[in-house]
Amino acid sequence: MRVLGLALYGPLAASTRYRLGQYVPGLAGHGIALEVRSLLDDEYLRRRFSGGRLPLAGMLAKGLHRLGHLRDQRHDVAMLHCELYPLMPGWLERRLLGSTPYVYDFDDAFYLKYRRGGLGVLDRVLGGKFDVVVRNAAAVTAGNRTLHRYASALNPRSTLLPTVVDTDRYVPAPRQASRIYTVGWIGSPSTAPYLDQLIEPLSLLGREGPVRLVVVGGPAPAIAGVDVCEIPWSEASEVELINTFDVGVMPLPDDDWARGKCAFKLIQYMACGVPAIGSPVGANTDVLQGGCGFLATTPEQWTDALRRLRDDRELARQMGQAGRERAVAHYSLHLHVPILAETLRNAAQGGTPCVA
Amino acid sequence: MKKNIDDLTVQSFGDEWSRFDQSAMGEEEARKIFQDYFSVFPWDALPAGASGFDMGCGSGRWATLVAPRVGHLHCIDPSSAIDVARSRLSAVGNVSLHQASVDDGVLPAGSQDFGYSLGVLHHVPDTAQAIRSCVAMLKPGAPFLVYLYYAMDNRGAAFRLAWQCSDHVRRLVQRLPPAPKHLVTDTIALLVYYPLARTSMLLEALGYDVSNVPLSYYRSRSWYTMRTDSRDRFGTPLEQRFTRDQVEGMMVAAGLVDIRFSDNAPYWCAVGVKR
Repeated sequence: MRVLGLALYGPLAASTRYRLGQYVPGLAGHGIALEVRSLLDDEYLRRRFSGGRLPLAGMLAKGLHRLGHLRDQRHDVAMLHCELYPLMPGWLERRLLGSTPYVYDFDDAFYLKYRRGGLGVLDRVLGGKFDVVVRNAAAVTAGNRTLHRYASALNPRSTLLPTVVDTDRYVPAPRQASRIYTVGWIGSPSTAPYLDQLIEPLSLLGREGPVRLVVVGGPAPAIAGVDVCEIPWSEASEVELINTFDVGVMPLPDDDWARGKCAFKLIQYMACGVPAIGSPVGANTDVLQGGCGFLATTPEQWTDALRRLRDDRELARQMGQAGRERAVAHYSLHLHVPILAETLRNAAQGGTPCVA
Repeated sequence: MKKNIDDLTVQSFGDEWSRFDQSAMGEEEARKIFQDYFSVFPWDALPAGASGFDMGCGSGRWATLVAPRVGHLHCIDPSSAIDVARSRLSAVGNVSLHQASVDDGVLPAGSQDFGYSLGVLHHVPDTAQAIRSCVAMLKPGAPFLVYLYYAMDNRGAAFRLAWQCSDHVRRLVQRLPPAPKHLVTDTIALLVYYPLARTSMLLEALGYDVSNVPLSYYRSRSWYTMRTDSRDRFGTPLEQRFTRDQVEGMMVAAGLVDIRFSDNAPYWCAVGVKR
């Protein structure tokens, strides 16, 4: 069976790598050939993150290129992640997908994209875009319970498919005893501002002893008395870097967008045996269970959780081990390849879109 | 001895910050502007639990972002804006507020680990003396960050001409009573700031370099910020502008070394370390 994977961004985007790319070898073992095509390449993301000018002519060319992919009739089913084209109405996306049944996949609250923030002015025109795309999908794969709840209300063929890791690649490394307590975060420039929640707790900890904040993949906040390290993200080094953390953190604001987050950072930390602390928002509350970390809301709770993991190394070790076991048992790629394979087969066989 | 303060300007700022207490500024925008100012500030050189001061804190908009990062922050402002800052910072435990001018010596000499003054000291009669007063409160090795209005010395003739025209307008507008002044500066924000800023945003999206377009700094700023800065720019009685060399000269004369300027707008933003 042939599947056309339609990603919005290139492999620099975690969603492209982990929602589509990492499934290619596993699906091949199930007789499914997944071919991932991105609308926008890595250069687009680099420019967007660095504040550079966007390559408009190149973007237009890539848009036309995607039309070529859609006319390719060799695929049995499409797997659409996020959206086919930014700013395009849902009914038109559906028309462009033609008669090919499609699985709609999402790991963020994309349905809010044109309803809030800078693009909220387009609510009347595009606010319902994702409702149409989800409703007409042959199947839907949603990254967490919040997203699954939204999708299930529109399409009964919705499946919960968390964003998972290859637990053969994400493995714990022997912990090097360090004199400096290392708090780590991995992500992208778009979510790095959430780290501001940790400024006060880390500032307090910095007065009690040496503490380092390692920020991988985004700009780090400045904090007096804290050794702050900004490290560019690279696929080759991310596991090695996570294994240098004494604790991994995932602060989030409690808003509609954050509730659609899939707690992927926490899963990455846990798979490496690193104890984690996260805000009790969205999927974080589902993932951080079974004694693999702490949930923290207020600066005081964050400070207390960070202190406990700094001062009680045995507790940190136990939580790291529990996290690893939980990641293997619930969030491993091996477990989820068959689920996606079955979803794609069902979509190809019985993909009759319902009426918009 | 005559105080280094302009009473009309102090009153004007008291009125400005009571109208624009900055509570309507979005978190993301505040963070970006904060980063613009503090991009050259050596946070990593501060000791844990550092104590410092915000000279001319106004509504306390930057103090809210600095306080969580440090041990203690003294917020100093001579105007009634200190009441706005007090209300805004009421839940923050590590700040002290002082209604005082720059030369009141509100903090002991040589006592502070850092200091900053953003967009304030060009509104006092003797800016060089004001910088010296700030630096006097620092410990040796402590950094001082200052933002002073630039004299368009890194701009072309057309840009400077546009500024000169706008300065004639400022000299008229600043004389108005508070309510009409507020109305006029809002009108300027609507008819000048907003169109130029949003045109810059559009041109940038189309791939053009907009760094030489007047007011392009506001292309991704909110309407609220444009109104605030229009009021700041056109409603203030005393305003001075300095070249980069003049700013550096004043900092050196105040006893600062290792002076670094930010390469990005707003100009001129510089940091130096007390000898």
